[in-house]
Amino acid sequence: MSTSHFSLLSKRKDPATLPFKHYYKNWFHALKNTLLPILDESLSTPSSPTLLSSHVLLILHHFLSYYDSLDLFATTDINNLPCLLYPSWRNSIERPFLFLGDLHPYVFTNLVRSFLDKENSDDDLGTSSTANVVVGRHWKVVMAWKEPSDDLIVKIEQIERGLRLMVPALMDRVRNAQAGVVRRLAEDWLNFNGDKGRIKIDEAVKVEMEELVSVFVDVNRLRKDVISEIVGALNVYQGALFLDGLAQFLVGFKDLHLLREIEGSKTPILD
Amino acid sequence: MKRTSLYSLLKGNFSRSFLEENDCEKPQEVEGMRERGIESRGWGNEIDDRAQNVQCMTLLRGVPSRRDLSRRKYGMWRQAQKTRVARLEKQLKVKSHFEELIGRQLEKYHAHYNLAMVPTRLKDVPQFFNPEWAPPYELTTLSWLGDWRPSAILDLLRVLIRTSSTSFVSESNSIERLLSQLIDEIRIEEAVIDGAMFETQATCIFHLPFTRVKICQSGNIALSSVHAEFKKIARNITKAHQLRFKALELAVKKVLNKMDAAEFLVAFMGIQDLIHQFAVKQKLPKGPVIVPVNAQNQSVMGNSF
Repeated sequence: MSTSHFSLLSKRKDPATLPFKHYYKNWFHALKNTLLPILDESLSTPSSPTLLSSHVLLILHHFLSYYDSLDLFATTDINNLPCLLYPSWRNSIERPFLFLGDLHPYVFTNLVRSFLDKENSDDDLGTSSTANVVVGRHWKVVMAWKEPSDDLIVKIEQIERGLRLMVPALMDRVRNAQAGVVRRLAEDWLNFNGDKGRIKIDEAVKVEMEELVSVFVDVNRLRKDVISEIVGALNVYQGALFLDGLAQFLVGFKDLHLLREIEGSKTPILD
Repeated sequence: MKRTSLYSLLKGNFSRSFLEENDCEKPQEVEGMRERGIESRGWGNEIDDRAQNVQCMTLLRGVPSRRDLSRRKYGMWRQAQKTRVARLEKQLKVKSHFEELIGRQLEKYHAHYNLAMVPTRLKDVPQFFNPEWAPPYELTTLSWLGDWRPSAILDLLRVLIRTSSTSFVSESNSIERLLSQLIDEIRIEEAVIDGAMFETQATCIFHLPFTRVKICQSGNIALSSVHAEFKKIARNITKAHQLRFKALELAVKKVLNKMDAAEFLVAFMGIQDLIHQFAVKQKLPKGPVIVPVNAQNQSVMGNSF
């Protein structure tokens, strides 16, 4: 009796499990509808730096937890990796811009660069998408990027240099992993005279997948480190604007009107 | 009737090998005939007296079985040659057809990579990143901008040359040197395309006006921005396809002979198909993907809902 009771319980949906696309949907919903409005409100109305700091930490941890979850999905079962590298839950506008399943790590440094460079030139606000985020905000927020410290500039340059070293190495590992599976399959192809039934493709692919999971975890670590280091180097107003810009950028990809236009467009793409 | 030395006749009309191969009159025998008074004359000399003819016939009557044997053997040889030539002729036709098949196969790849797979409309571009024709498992295993990496195509060839114990081995050292050089060149071209692609992905934050303000103000600005970025990506996809075809063409035309080229094309297609079939069967993930409970707890969204 206790056994049947147990099996009945085991059939119930485990509250700790969730398909990743549902996880992503919830994660994005929280970002767009909860965390971004809170941060936006803090940036627009005079509030204490402590409260703003709390909101900055909330949204920062939200981003970091997303990459932790990606890692957990990939490492729990290596067979999950393909759907994380080619996520069906990302729309047609997002997909071409994905680098190993998510934003290219340079996006984060380029976002900071756009704030820094904007303040170093007297460009019209309307020409920069990221600069628009300061319009209608508290004066401390508007002035956040005026005359950034030399230390900050040096720190950002250090992060950029680190990325320039690490990203190509990751891509080399991807290329070598792909070449590795081709090599193993080619050897089997010759050994078994092209008899597909005898070729151990699952073994060859498993070795490759393990390496690619390792690359995936490393690129996510890089993303987390870059975001954390950037926010760590910024003051609370700069950090708030950086994370607000990042969140708005992600939300912008999901514009339904734009998505419909892209997906229905018959405009020739090449000259 | 013409009378000649049988040896001269045979020498004049048939190959030396036939003479050696078939046990016909040999020079020593002709010499023996000469000793017995039979003159050996050159090709085209007339027989002018019957007596001599009869004498010759009489003398030759001593070896009738040899002449019959030669005729029979000659007939057999001729028949065998005919069969061999017919086979050769058939092989020539097959070879010509074989070369035509390889040429046609390359043309098909050219049409596929350089024409059919070129994005033509705005909405085509995203399809190369989650294509309907290839499941995620296949893309993860092989894909670089929608299909095989050009350097992986040549890697495949290198393995075939190194590992094969039958074909692919002729002049394998010189071919390997050439191949290594080609792989280096192709990798450089691959890196250039990668660089252009990463540049677009990394700088999209500068170019896509994804702030709520701008999207609300004008959808056209966002559309034209996406269009401009997709255009850059489409160029990279097109270049990647061109490079893929270049790698295939180099392998088939520059590195391999026709037989090896055919074996390479069969292996290329076979391995691709193997991976595709494997990927289709994976259908990942089947059930819900498990999220360890701590992943949910780590997220601040847990508090937000």
